[in-house]
Amino acid sequence: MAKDGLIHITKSTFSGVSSVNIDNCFSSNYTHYLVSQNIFGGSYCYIRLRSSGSTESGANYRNQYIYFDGTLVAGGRATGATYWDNQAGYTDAGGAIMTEIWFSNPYESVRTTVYTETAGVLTGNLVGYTQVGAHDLSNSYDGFTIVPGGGTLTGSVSVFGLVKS
Amino acid sequence: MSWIKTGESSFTSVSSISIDNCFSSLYNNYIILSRIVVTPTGGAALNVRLRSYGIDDSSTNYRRQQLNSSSTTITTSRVTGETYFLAGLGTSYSSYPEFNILNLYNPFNKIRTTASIKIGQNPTANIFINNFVSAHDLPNSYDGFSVTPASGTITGLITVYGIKES
Repeated sequence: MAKDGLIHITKSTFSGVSSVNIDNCFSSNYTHYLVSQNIFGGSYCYIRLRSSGSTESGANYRNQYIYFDGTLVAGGRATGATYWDNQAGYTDAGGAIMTEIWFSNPYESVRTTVYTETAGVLTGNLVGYTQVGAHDLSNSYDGFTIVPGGGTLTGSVSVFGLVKS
Repeated sequence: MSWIKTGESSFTSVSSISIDNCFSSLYNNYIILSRIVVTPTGGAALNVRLRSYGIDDSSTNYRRQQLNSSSTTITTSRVTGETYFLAGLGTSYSSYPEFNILNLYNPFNKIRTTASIKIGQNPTANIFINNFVSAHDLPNSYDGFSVTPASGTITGLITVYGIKES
């Protein structure tokens, strides 16, 4: 019987919290991870890597993004940032949000790469956000945190590992 | 929906890697994840060709539409008559592998194969977004693919997953 290649590692459900720490979700068992999140919050959010319960808040994050909203399309790049973007809160009250986050190599001692895609609804308008992010240090991380720019978070985050040998 | 691993290859310093018999009638669509370093560094593109019975399709039947973003500049362009799917930029260093996501639709079915390709760079300098929508012009059936750098050798890991729809 064929073996499932997408392995559910953990799910965190939360309500009214100031941050969400997902620890011990990255390991040597997997190289790539897919994170599916459904978060409702009042502002943009950030992603930071974590190791042994500590958050990596150094100026070691960089990204390139494309934002598209109606006929508007805009791009931007950041270096020396202390986080990657996470558009989890990019929705009105009652709006819908979906963000897919790919992590590559977070646990291995090589530089971590992320790829994220977000579909959000603001006052009935569908908007999109795509990001490629890289971390400048070749460290090992076993988790990540999601922090809102303001307010609190409610929702859920699921982490899946992609089977290799 | 489940993702079923149908192929994998781990390789070191090779000029090309082929994964055969990873596409079949069991699945329509596939996701291919790769983590690749090109040597020497400097941005040798990673070219993917479809294969059938162990032979690359190197014809000029590959095309793509691409979306690129560099800081605040966003550009698009279209290429036809190529001999490969562009599936990576190779802007990698030994501990900074490039992460690429290749969604491949209907490679085994006798209809035109299409692809959505996302490139996750991890450069030492500027970072970019390069996303491609690609298509093959012929309604052929393929059971595998190859990855070849435009120059140099590649080291890395490629894993293929079939999308189980029911």
